[in-house]
Amino acid sequence: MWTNRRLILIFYKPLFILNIALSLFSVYFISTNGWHANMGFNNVVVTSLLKLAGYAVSAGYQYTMLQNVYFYYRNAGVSVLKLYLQVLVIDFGIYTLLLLFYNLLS
Amino acid sequence: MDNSILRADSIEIDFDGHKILQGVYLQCKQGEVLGLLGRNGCGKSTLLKIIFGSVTPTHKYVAIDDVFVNKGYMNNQIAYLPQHHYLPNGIKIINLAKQIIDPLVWDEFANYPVYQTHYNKTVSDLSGGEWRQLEMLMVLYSKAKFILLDEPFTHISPIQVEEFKGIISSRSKTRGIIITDHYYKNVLEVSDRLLLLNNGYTQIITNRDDLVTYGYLSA
Repeated sequence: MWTNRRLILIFYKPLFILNIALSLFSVYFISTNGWHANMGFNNVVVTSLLKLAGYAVSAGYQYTMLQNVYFYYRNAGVSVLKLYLQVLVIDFGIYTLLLLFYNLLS
Repeated sequence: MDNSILRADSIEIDFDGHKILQGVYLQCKQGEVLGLLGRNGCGKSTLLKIIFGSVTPTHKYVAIDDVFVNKGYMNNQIAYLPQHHYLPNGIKIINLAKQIIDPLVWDEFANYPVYQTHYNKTVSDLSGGEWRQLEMLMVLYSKAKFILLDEPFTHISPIQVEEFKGIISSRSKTRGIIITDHYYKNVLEVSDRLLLLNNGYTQIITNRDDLVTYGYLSA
C-alpha cells in the first residue's frame, strides 16, 4: 500500500501547511486549555473535529482548484482516492504523535 | 514486446437524456496508432476518459487481452494526455518524471532538450509550449501499454508537431496509441488505422471519401 511514497509526498505537499498548522494549533489549544475543558468536554475531541474540518477544506480545495492534476497521479498508475486516504492516515498520525509528545513532556 | 489488445465495446453515455455515445466499439493493438476523428462535441474526449477510467459511463466493456478493466489507469495499464495541463506545480520536473517514466526508456526521455534544460525547475517556470511538450513526453514514455492522446498537437509549434509525430511513431513500436486531434491531417499522417465518431457510433474510415460521406469533411 505504501510503495508509492514519493507520489504520496507530492500529493501531500499542497495540503501540508494547512494541516500541520492545525495539528500545531491543536497542541497549543490543549496546552492552554488542558485535556479536559472546564465543562468536562474532552478537548481532544474538539481538536480532532478541527482536524476533520481541515481535511474537508483540503479535499474541497484539491477538488475545485487542483482537479486537473489528478491525471498526473492516474498516469502514475495510482487512484486519487487511495492517495487521499494515505495522506489522511499520515497526517492524523503526525497529529497523534504531536499530542503524545506533548503529553510526555508535560 | 507483448502483443496486447485493448478492446472497448458497448460504450454508452448520455448527458441530460441526450445520448453522446451509444454502442461504441474500438480495438487497438500494441504496435499501432489508431486515429480517432469526429466533430466538436461528438464525444471523443469522453470516450478516451471512459477507456482511461476517469469518467463513468452508463455502460462499458473495456478489456486488455480479454481481461476486464474497470479503471484503465490502475497499475500503469493506460496513460492519458488530457487537453489541459496536468502536471502539479511546486515540484521539480525531475521528481515528477521519475514517478511516471518507464525506467527502460529513461535515458531516451532524459535526452530531450526540453527536459535537459528544465529538469531542475517546476512547471511554473516553463512556457505553455514547453509545459505541454513535457506532459506529452511523460505520457509517451510512461510505463503504460496503451496511451491515449487527446489533442496532442494543440499549443505546440508546427516544427514541434513534426517532431512529435516522429516520437509517436517511434513509441508505437512498443505501445498501442489512440490519438485524436482537430488537425486531422496530422492524425491521418501518424495513424495506421482510422475511426470516425459519428452520431455516437464509431465508423471505420478507409479513405478520404469516407470522411466526406460521413460529413466530417466537405466535398
